[in-house]
Amino acid sequence: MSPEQFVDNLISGVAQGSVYALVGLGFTIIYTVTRIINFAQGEFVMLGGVFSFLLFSSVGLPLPLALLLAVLAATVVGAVLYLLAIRPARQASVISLIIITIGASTFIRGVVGQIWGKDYMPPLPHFSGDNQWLWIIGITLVVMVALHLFFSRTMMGKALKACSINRQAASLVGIDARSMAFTSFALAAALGAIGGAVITPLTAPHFRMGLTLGLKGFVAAAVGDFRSQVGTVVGGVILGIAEAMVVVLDWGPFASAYKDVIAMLVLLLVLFFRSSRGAAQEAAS
Amino acid sequence: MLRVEKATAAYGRVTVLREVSLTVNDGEIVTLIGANGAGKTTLLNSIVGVVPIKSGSIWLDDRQISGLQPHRTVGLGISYIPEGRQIFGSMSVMDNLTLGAYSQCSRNHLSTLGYIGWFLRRPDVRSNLDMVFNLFPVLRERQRQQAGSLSGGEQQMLAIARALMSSPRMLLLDEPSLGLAPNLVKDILRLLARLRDEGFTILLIEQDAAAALKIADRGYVMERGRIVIEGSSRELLGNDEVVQAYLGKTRG
Ligand SMILES: Nc1ncnc2c1ncn2[C@@H]1O[C@H](COP(=O)(O)OP(=O)(O)OP(=O)(O)O)[C@@H](O)[C@H]1O
Ligand SMILES: [Mg+2]
Repeated sequence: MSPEQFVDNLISGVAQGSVYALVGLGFTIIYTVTRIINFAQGEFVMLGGVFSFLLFSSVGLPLPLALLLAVLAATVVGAVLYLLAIRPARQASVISLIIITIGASTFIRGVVGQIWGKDYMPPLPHFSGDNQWLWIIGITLVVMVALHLFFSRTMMGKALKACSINRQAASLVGIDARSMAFTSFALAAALGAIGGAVITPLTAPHFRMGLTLGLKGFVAAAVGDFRSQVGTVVGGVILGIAEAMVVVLDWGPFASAYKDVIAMLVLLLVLFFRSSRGAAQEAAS
Repeated sequence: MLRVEKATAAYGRVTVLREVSLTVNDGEIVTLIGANGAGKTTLLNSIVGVVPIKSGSIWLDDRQISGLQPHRTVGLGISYIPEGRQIFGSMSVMDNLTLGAYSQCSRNHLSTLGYIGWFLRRPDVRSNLDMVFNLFPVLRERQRQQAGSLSGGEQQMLAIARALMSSPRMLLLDEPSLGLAPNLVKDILRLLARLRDEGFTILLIEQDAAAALKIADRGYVMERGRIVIEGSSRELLGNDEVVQAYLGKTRG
């Protein structure tokens, strides 16, 4: 591999990883606020991609507007998912709520497949020139700065954090846990949809695209223990780079087919280290 | 100001409060005395809505507050400092204080999206912050420090300061001196007396009943979920039963 190739692959890996990070942050934010692992997270990514395509190609909106509205629409879906499926099940255990998100995921996928078909949609044009990877990295950086400002400079961000640290204490200062849960679903949907929107010039939008991207985001979040936003971003980027390198090293005839196995490998490693650490803690106590 | 009328509460099938009635008047310190497991904490939890009551009613002035959820009662002027302080340990002291004022800006959900610096410059928030920094200068020095890294006494001060940030009229405190050195316990009680003199109304649970009765105006004694004795502090300090059961030994 020439140095140029290496750099190209590194960039594409970081970009791909940025998308995983965005998706993963959705998992992390919902988990810390509600203790729910939201298996519909991948569908927000898919909605971001599919809506972008529809608004741009079918409706004919200018690309930036199409992307923005697509993300907004997916955010509304996230909010509605919370209001219709999670909030009414108030007494349900966390496990039941997780199962509800699995059901919701299947439902959203089915509806999109029914309405807009099961074929691959043509990818969107690159945002400019031939450097979509850089666009993805740039947009992700902007989103992360915005997210950081949100959590550190607004009352809502701090309230979300407070809710994830100690829900009871949060309620005693006046924070409504349910409105925080609502916010976390909307925010997670927005992040996932941004990931889906920026990747559509490179991956054809498709009603099942949320499955793989959701899984990769899940792995990124697992690296952050579903708690750490920084850990999630690091996890996503590492996964993206690892995948890009496997494709390029081209071991054997099926090398690129192994790409998706990397995520599983990372997940197994995370689980392995976590359980051995857990065992060590148990032994210590 | 606060009136609890025949409140009954239970955890599952176990009844913990049995027709408890209690009143706290404006500008009073009222203390709640009772053995471990008597139901004191549960009573405070019921007042703010953490544990809903099964029957009876709870009134704040002329408004019935039983049935409200905890995040609503703060907005009405009752601030609860629960057992064990419950500060946000991994956030800074300043963030804890800021969150204490959450109920001051949350009436409109969207306004919580504003830049927090502007909110902190609001005159009412500013003056609350000045007040707690004057009460607890150490918190001003440590405002950037992680709350969890404060000493136990400082954490208790932060818990009280955070509660004061919501502009409450009434404070409910559950064993604020738990685990503190004796001279700190005195400081905290002296502080509560001072807050009362500044117009706050206080309902206090305190293991050291003798010390609590010294600053309190009135007291209630709870036994197995019932109020068994009530009276002015002087009456309780002179009541043989109370002296024998609760004033003999002191802890804290
Ligand atoms: N979350 C709970 N679930 C079930 N039972 C509880 C719960 N909290 C308290 N209890 C029970 O309710 C009774 C009253 O408890 P409470 O905490 O109100 O007592 P307390 O007077 O505050 O005691 P202490 O002085 O030890 O703090 C106890 O018997 C306790 O075991
Ligand atoms: Mg107690």
